[in-house]
Amino acid sequence: MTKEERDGERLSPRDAQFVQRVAEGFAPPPRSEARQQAFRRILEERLRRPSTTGVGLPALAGALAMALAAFVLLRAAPPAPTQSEPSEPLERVEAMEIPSDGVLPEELLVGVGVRDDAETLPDDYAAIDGVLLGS
Amino acid sequence: MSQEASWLLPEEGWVRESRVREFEAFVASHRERAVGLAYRLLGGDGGAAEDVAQEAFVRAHRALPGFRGEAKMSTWFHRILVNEVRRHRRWRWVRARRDVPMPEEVEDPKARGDGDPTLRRRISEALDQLSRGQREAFVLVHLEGFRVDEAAAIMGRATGTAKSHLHRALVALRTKLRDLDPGEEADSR
Repeated sequence: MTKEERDGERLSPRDAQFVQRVAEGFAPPPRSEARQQAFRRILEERLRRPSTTGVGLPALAGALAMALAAFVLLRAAPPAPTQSEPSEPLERVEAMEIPSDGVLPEELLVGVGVRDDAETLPDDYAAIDGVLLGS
Repeated sequence: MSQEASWLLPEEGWVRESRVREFEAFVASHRERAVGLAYRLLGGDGGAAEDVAQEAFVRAHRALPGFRGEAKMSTWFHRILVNEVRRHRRWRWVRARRDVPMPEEVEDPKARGDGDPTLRRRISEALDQLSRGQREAFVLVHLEGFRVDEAAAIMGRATGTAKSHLHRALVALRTKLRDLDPGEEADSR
């Protein structure tokens, strides 16, 4: 047996004949024309179908990455200036007089008026409203 | 092929046209051969061979943008096909181990061929008893006509390993299929 024969690159005449017999005995049976056409049709349909794994996943990943980046940028950015009422000038606030007994003027209590609360009280409590408030 | 060829282009505009054309021509010229190779590697299961060949072509089509032409398209595709065969054999092995009944093979009665069914089954069983590497090397080189280095590339093995598989496969098959060995015939006379 030569080196080529030992390596399987070249067969001895005896091996070549043996392999030939195996090849003939194990040849794929011929497929009918109808079966070949069905195979071809199905294969072409499958190849025509757009790939969902090849394109869909990268597109989804890209969209998610963009959404995440937008979220991070929005959180990191300083708040946009808004058209709000100008705040009270500091000098004017300081100039406001606070009574010496610590009672704030009524105009500072807008929205927390006692009367609004009294209007919502049940009748029983409204009857003794005057007693509780000492009026 | 030009009539068959146009179906890939609209979907795959980002793949270079020449590569797509090459693949389309390859599919047309290798369909039957791919089924035949899968048939031999799967021990003569015709239905499974068609499924595996289909899957290999679809996978190759999806992988086409990554194919840089460093290997021949034939080597590249057959490597995918052999991987699909391996995957199918693993699946079949797992099902057999779990006693799950295998799907019935639908045989085309017109496609039985003229060969001897008993001999075909014996060869199939003998191939099945080889190691995976021996079986793949023997089928690729001796039954399908690939060169040893091509077969090695398809199998993802070194050429020396493929040669070793080839030699051992031949020795094992000659023992199992003694009656096909012309030397044995001469000795027995």
